[in-house]
Amino acid sequence: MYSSKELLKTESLSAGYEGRAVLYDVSFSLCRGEIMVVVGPNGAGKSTLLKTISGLLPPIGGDVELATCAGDPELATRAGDPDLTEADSGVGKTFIGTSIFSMDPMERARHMSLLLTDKRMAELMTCRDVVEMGRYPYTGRLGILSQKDEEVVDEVMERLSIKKLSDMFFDKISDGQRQRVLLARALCQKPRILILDEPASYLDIRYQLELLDILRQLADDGLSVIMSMHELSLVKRIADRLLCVKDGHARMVEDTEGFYENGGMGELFDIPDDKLDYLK
Amino acid sequence: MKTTRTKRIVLTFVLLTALLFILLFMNLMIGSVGIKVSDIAGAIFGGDVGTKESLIIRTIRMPRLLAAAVLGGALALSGFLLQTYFNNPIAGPFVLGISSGAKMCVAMVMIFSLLHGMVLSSFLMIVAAFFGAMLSMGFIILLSKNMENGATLIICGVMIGYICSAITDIMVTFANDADIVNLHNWSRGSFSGISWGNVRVMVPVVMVTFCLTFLQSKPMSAFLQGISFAKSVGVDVKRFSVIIIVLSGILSASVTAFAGPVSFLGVAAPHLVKRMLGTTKPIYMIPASFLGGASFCLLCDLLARTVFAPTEVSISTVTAVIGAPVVIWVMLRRMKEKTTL
Repeated sequence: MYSSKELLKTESLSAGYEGRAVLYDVSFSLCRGEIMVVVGPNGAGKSTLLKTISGLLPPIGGDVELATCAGDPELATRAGDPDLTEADSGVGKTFIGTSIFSMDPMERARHMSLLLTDKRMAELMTCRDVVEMGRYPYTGRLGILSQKDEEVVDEVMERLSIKKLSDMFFDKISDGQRQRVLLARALCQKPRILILDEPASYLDIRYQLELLDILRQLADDGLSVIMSMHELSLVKRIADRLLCVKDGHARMVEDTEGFYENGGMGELFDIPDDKLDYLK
Repeated sequence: MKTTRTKRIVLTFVLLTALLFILLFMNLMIGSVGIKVSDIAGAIFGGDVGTKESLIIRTIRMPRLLAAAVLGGALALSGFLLQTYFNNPIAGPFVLGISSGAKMCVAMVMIFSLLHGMVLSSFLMIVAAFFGAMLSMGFIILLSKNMENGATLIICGVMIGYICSAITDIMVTFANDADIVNLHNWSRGSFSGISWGNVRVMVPVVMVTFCLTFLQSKPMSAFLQGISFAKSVGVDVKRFSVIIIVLSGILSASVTAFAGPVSFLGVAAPHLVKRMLGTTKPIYMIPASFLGGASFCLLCDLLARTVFAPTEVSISTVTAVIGAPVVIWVMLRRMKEKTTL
């Protein structure tokens, strides 16, 4: 049985490309409403890990499990909710772990969404067109949006204050605005887990701080966030927990503050002693 | 704002449909023998009246214009699919050498059947063309795996096209037979000599392929927003890619089997239509490309028949004159946008 808070769990996961693992024996769990930041040097396997836990890459070994509820799919969306009462999670409604690799990909996309810095985007796409695509796992054969889908899109765009961008072409807006539109698209999937790969890159400091604010609000509403990030000052500000990736292994850090204090970052990135003052 | 966009899309469809009907009508009337409106009505609705005009309409112009419309639509749709798959706005069956590959295989099968006195069925021609199209496409896909640059892809395609055309030329030169005259015309691209028998095969093949393509508009719309994104929302990208390649192969094979290679229409028509619609959404682009391609092809065939009448120029000559400037325009636009982005 699953503990009340865990949403996603990896079980001695090995991740890599074409049968060759770059990360071994990764075990961690992601809780409801927390922001976990994956940090580590370039090429350590952060993106590989994120792509694997989002189901894009098959694992080399081990598994990634999502808390679901066989008796009550509706209840599964509330896994980890502190307001969940005994009566809600009654007999036959126990949370179980389902391997994300055995799930229908469309079903999986309703539980988690992934935001990559993907350069490809067709021309003549308005921002609303892009956001609407987030409803993909909910629409029918031809992908036509229902009234409900439209409402979700409206609500998400309102929340991220990008309503005014609706009719502008996606390739004509700034990087910061683009990141927001892509975030809106991811939120339209109504996920429980949001996975982001380097969301702060290419953004100036104002947009970076805005992004952190939005993510914190979303997490407060119960969304679980796991993301990779290079900007250590931002990491310090936002991370509830850290997952440090280096030399093929991943280590969980619960006390972010303490990790920074005790020179953990310097060690993680192999920073020579005389330059450690940068991290202060 | 949403409504103005919808209006524009509706207007585009109305315009394209009207254009198609006007061109169909013009293709019936205009030619080396001028035909009056009353004759057309008579020939279509009045049954076989035995006049020269009705004979021309029924056995020559009608199958020809139907073929031009259906195959033009098929070619434009095939181009749109390839542009989507390769994420390259100037990809198309002709520029990627797919038409030439199909041409080579059809020529081979034609010559073989001529030498052995066999009659080649329309269906077999499509199969041969499809095989050739897949051959070229296979090469292109293998090559595209190792290249990020879209321009290199196009150059490779053009080169493959030249190689296939050269092989076809060699075969046509050495298979010296009276019947080869036809083959020579066909290998340059032409709608002349299309029979009702051909039409009866091509229409169902193209229509079924069109419907199957339309059913792919949902995964295609996600694919347009990035391959990783498409995967993350549940598109089986491998399966989708195979479907797209096969469908575009069938479409361009049908064209080549009956009309030979038709240049640049596959790039120009979808692009013009996209500008008219103001959107890339496949659910609109798939039918609109087909309509636009049909009109484009009818116009080009009309010009091919009439400009130097009674001499007919090849369809590719006309589509090149009109289509190639569009391709250049697309490339220039793209370069300009790359620098501003």
